[in-house]
Amino acid sequence: MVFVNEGGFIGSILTGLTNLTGSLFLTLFCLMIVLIVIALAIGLPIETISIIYLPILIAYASYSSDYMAIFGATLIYTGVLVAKYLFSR
Amino acid sequence: MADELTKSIIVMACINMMLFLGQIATLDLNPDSPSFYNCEGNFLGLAEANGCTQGTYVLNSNSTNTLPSGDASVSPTTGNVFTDAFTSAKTWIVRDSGLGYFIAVIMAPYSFLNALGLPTTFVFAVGSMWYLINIFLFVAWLLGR
Repeated sequence: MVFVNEGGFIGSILTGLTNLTGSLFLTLFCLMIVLIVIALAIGLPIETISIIYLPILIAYASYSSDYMAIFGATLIYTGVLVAKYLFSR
Repeated sequence: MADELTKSIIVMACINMMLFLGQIATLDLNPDSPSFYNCEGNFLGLAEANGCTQGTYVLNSNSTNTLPSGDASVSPTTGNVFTDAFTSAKTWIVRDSGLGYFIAVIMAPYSFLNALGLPTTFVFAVGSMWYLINIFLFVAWLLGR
């Protein structure tokens, strides 16, 4: 894990989860499930998790091109959300 | 149909903005990170003063390049006033309002999905759907439907 500050809050979560799952992909997957469950539990729309998920994916994509497709898909989805919430009546 | 055409332009502008910001963010974190989006020749490049060629990212304050400009008169070719008026209006819209702007909108998904390295068949399928729908919307808008 060379791309996150392991002493930080998010860095600790990513490092700990990766040690647990053994793979950065699985870490991302688990993190998404946890965020979706939290959003559903407190009654938020699921798209609000992109506020947390997008910065993590930016760090992942800057680290490896393997995450480029999922990062791009998230950016496109976020762009659609921006259009939906800011410009729709 | 003008509403739907406007919505498709808004969605494309927002997606392009997010992709551009995402690319800048990854490059800021790691200058050696892979490059997947370049606004040169892309949708956002139409609004940049130098067409995104110099990496300065300054908004084009001279809007005559992107907004409809210039006038035209009806040129009689068939003798039918409705046909002539429609032909002249179409020529004016295609030439003076910037057909490149519209092409950038309908080709935007194809170019950025390709840049993300997705499978070509998937890119073709999504891109052609967007292309056909927007061509239909554009023609409907031209006809005033």
